[in-house]
Amino acid sequence: MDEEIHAHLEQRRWVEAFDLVLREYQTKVFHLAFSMLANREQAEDAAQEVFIRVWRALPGYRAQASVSTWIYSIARNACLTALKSAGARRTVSLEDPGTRAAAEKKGNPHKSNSSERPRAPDLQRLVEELPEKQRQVVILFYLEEKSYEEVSRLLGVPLGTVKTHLHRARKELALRWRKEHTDAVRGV
Amino acid sequence: MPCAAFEDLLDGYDELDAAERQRVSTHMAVCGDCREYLETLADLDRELAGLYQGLQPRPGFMADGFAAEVISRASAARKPLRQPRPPSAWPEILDFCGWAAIAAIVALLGVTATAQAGITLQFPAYAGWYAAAAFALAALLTLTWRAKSGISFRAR
Repeated sequence: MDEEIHAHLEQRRWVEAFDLVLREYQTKVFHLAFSMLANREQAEDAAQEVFIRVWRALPGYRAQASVSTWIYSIARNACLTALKSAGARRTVSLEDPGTRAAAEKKGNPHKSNSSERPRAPDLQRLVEELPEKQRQVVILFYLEEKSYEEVSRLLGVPLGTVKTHLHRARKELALRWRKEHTDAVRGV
Repeated sequence: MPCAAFEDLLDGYDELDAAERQRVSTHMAVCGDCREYLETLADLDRELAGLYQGLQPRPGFMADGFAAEVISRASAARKPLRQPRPPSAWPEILDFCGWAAIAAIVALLGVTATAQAGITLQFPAYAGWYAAAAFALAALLTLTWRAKSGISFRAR
């Protein structure tokens, strides 16, 4: 796909190139935005802003980096701007229809009172309480179907850094989640 | 807390080869903490996948017309890369000097022609200075008028 995009760009066919970019990267950009903003609506707005920036910048693209690296870099900058300007709170609404639908599809215990494990919203809260980098990596890791490489590309950090963040985050989550579960069982 | 020696192995349990898995299994048979930790990680994996995997933007976000909308919005919001500069006075000055030079050449040719024709022109004393002063005053007035009225004779 990137070759096709390059071909269009070389021929200065901006609209065709942009159509392909949009088709190929909109979900990735949305995922990246969601991992940084942790809010679906803000992530969608940010993703739109990203593509506006991409459209404006297309004529200046010089192929020094791959298309994906270039787009993800624009996306990260746009999300940082969104975070700063909107003072975005990194909260995921528990009533978020997408999150809830995905959770229900996967058998989220939030909808099952019979579960003995701590409920998903608690886990969601624990994720939100992680340090920023760890939180981004955790969310992206699961959004990107557990691909370390894709998380590394999206965040623009080395693979080893992704694994380190994920390792620490999972350990922290596992210990805290287990503790909350134990407390809940004891009625603390 | 899992045993420190097994923590990394437990964390990457899915990626272990057969020998490593066997080692971990042997250890877990006698270590409740590590067994519990691995179970918690597995639960955690499942729950996190349930929370985030498959999350998509709302329908409509990726509608067919989105590209056109982005292009339209970007075009509408596009700002000029540079603010236009205020017009410079230099072209006017150079214009004026050019015309003045032409006028001077014409005058010189006229004086030369009259001299060739044997006509003697009588100039009062300090006539050159008076002419220069008049020239400078005319230049100043013309430039001031052009600057105030915004009229330019040059094509921009």
